[in-house]
Amino acid sequence: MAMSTQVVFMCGTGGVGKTTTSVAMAMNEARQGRRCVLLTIDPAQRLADALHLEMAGNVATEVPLPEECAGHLWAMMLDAGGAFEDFSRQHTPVHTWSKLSKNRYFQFAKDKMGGIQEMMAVMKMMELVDTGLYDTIIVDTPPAQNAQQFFEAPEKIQHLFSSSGLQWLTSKSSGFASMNFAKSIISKGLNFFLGSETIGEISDFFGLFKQSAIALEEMAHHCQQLLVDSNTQYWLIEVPNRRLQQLKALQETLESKDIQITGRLLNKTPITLPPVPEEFVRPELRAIMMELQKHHTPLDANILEQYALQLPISKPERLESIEGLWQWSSGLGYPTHDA
Amino acid sequence: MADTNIDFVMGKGGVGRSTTSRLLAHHYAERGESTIIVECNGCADLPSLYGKQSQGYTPTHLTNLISTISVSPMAAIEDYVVQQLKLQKLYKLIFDNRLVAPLIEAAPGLHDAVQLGKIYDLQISGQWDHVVVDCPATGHGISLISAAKTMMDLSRRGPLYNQSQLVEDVVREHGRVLLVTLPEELPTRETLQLWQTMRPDFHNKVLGILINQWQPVTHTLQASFDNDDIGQSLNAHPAYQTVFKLIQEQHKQQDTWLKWLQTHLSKPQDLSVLTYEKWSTSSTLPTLEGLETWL
Repeated sequence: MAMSTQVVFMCGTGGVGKTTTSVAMAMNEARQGRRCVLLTIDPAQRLADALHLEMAGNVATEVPLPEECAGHLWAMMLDAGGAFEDFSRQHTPVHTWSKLSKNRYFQFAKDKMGGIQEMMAVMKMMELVDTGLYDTIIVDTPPAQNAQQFFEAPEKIQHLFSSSGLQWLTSKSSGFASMNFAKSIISKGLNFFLGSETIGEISDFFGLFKQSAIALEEMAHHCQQLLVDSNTQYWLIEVPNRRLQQLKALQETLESKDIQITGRLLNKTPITLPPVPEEFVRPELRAIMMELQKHHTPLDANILEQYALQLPISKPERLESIEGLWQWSSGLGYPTHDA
Repeated sequence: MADTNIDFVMGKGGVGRSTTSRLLAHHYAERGESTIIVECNGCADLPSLYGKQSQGYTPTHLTNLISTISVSPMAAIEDYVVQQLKLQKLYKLIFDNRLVAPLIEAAPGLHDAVQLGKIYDLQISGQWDHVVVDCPATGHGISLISAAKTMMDLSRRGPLYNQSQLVEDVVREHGRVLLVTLPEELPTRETLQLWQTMRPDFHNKVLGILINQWQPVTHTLQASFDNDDIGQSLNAHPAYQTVFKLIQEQHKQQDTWLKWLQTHLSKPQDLSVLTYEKWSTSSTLPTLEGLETWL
């Protein structure tokens, strides 16, 4: 594993600006002369929208940055179904592949198997690490709730293929009488719910997928290691005045896996307005200044201090072009304690 | 079959799906009708907003006419299987089995299907006048609403197929969709994508698009926008001028994205766009002109 590559996860609830914040972090890396790739997961289109770039799934596209920038930035959108298919094809003998690709359950699994999308995201990230081409990989994760599934995915996939539950159920081997009794009840139950034809297709799938499964399991193990590596960074993104229950759940998941949060990043940091001057201000000007104060509540210094990084609130139009994002991201700063 | 509607509230993360779900429930309550709000994937954020303790998978009263339930895939699977097999012990044997549990975890589409199954149960129970579903974000909301169809495609025949058919029929007959967005670029673009990726047969189920956090233009603000002199005078107060420009820009943006949405919808005549201001827990319900004609 190329440990010289820094992996950074950007986490947070929906609507806090994870994608734009990830872009800012990535641009900052490039600004410091590094080669950075930004991987976005769900729904991937968002990144292309934000950057106004034509992007294909699973391909790193270089983002044009101002000439003075010493580093480079690439962006990549995940196409989980495509990645799963590529992976399976790569690890399946040719004659088996023709059967596997036609298996109906495989087609379902490709898009809908629990954890596949998340697993493929981690796998793509691993591939990027392994190329050795990048100094930094920034991962724009799905909204908090789904990010949790994302961190649990490699383990889940490992369990799925190592348990061989279905192989056991569909195998003809005999064991202890009590095991056979349980097996026959479970088989009957599954047959009842899914029908024998579907069960047949599913067990065919597991048979045909055998070699890919071994590779996938191995990959899941590597992914798991990278997720818990002490060098991997996890940033929590927040905006002022938002309920944080979902974030708490994510935090607990990370902690239960012994993952340390690198820091909290505050997006949309309000500008501090000085008090309205008592004198030399016309009444209509005073009225608008009062109104602006009402619309734009500053944050207490002790709240601001909790954030290792802050991004200023910005005019939305600025966030709609690469140049605008470039300018805005230069405001990514450590808090000043002069308040 | 009960006449209860199922309102699916969908949208990008952070646009205010939960707030909108509550808004609908309070709106129905004002008409004297009861509602159960369904939180999916084990979320249980609502009770605390009403000073109540969540009872998870058991409906919890929030007010006289508003209840909530937190549905999680695992609770819904257990519920379904126990209903089918009538035997709790058998469930334990089959589904807590270390060999089968991972299969259930990973089964394609199953999590959404059982949650939709629970929503179906709530609908047919006839206990409430409305079922409001606070859907998972964006594409996950679409997976949820299409889950019965997905199961039908997977199983093709047999009991699972037949039960999915029942759920699909109820969703088609009683399901309605409310899209929620913000007057900003990314949420607006994503709302349009959501509309475009939705099954075409659901298009006529969409009641409209709700634009949340619409900033009202006050008299003072409007006067300042119209009067260049004010903007100039703020030069002497740089921080104020920055904030002034920011707010002015936000107002311009919200008009722009509202118009963009209206022109890009394939069938604008079928959709209404409703805007409402930010609604906090403490304040009274915002008045939503036109909401009555939707519901």
